[in-house]
Amino acid sequence: MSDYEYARCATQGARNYQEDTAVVWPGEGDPFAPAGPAGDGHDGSIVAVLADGMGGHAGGALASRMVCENFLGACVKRNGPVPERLIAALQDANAAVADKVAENPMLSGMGSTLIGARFGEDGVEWVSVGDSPLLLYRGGEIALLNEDHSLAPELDRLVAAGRMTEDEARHDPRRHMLRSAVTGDEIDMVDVSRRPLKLEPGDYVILASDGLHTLETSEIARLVTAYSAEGAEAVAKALIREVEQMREPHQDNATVIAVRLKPTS
Amino acid sequence: MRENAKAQPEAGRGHGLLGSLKDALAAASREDTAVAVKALSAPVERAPGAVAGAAPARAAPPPLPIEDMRQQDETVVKMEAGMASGAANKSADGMKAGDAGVPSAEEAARAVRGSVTLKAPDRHMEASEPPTTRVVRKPADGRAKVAAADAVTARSGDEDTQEPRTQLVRGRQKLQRNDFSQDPVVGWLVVVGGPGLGAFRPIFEGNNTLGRAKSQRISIDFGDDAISSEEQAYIRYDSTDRSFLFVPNLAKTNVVSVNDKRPTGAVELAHMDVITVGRTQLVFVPFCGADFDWAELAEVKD
Repeated sequence: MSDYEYARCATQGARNYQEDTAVVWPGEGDPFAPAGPAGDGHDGSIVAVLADGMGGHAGGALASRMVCENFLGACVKRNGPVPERLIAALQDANAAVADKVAENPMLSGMGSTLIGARFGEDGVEWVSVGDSPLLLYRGGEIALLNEDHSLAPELDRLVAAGRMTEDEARHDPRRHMLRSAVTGDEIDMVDVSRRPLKLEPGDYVILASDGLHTLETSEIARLVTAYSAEGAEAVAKALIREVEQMREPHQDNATVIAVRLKPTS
Repeated sequence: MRENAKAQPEAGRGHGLLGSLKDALAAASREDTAVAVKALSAPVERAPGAVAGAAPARAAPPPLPIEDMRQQDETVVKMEAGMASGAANKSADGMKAGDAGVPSAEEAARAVRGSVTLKAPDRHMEASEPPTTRVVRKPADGRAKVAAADAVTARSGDEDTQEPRTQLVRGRQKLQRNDFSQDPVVGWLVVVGGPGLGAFRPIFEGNNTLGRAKSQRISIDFGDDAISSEEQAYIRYDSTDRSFLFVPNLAKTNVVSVNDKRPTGAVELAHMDVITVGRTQLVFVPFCGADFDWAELAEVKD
């Protein structure tokens, strides 16, 4: 019987709107309502979904919310092997966006990234589209679990090939362009876990929107290390507080969900 | 802040003890890899009275305040009891895989990373990606999304041969600013009196013929017969000095006026000047001028 503890935290950054959505099932009451810091599934499993919307004020926020809700709804309703459920839920979420755009063409161009992660008895399994990082913290290290579907990896490859300087690559506007997203169109790239990742005591899995990239990976590792003993809520809050303290003039929305095994007491 | 307040004494005590560990770790000359970023970790003696085997969350002393950690780049951070047992070994051998069969974060991640796509197999093409990743391209019909890998290489290799056709763009949109789809407009004439009231006509760069005929660059074709069909007047915009000139055609019998004056030669037009041709009144509204000219776009960086 697995049991997870999780917490969410978010900041709007320098924007006057919030296009990120993060939900965890089971929540309090309504399964789609934003969940509080403590929730238990019947079998101890939880599903965490994070989406970073795009497409202007109305569109971005709407897309990320729709994607999250439809994904979650489809994921918890379905039976069968987890990876299939995750992919089917992603397709449902994508179809919902397509329907909405067909209904209101003004919204065309809206879309969202998505991380859908299910934490069950076997560990964590996920599906991911876009550039929202899914991080594993273990023993003081941070590793990226999902694939980054932005152009950043391509730029880094150009740097490695000596065709671009590191500085150029870092400031290239294409860094934030997406190769794949949930837009209602065919999804170009989908990242799915090959098998469940068993969490160890002390591990944290962090779902984040790319606003968290304001922090260096080493800084994230350091913060999680510092707050790991205090639990998911302290970790999530510490990360967001640190993003806010950086006071980046163009700080994007930043949202994190931190999940760990409930400590056995 | 709660954490800081209670961490202070602990941190102070910790620094002496941890300082020597820090030296030891430095001596072990561990390497930071690019992939996994490591925060130093080290075992810490249990505080006296701590119950052995207690929950990690309880046994681990409170964390150092963030500010302290910032100042000391290499500050050693206390780890949870469970992690701590293996940490000494880890740091000595470069913090590779943990002992007791627990793989490191990067190793664990590598084992489970994977990637599939929802598309039909015939659309897949492997690119120079890690083996699990598939970059998906549509058939080369020119309009389809291309794999971003291509877009990037094409762009940075050869600037203008191929625009990236990746459609999903976040952040600032890349704007097309090299070719005009029509003559760039530099101002407008708005009909404020006579036939066509409420309509407008664009003024373009260079010399504009003004008349009733459709062939005129500024065609005032709202049914005012008092306007000559061709070349009743000219409006010129000169982009070098960014000025508008109104030039009456004195060969025509109809008289034109600007602000109730009847010019016999070129007069400079200013914002909201009223031009009367025939029984039609037009107001001049400039777009280009001191504040803007299309030539400036060449200097705009996206």
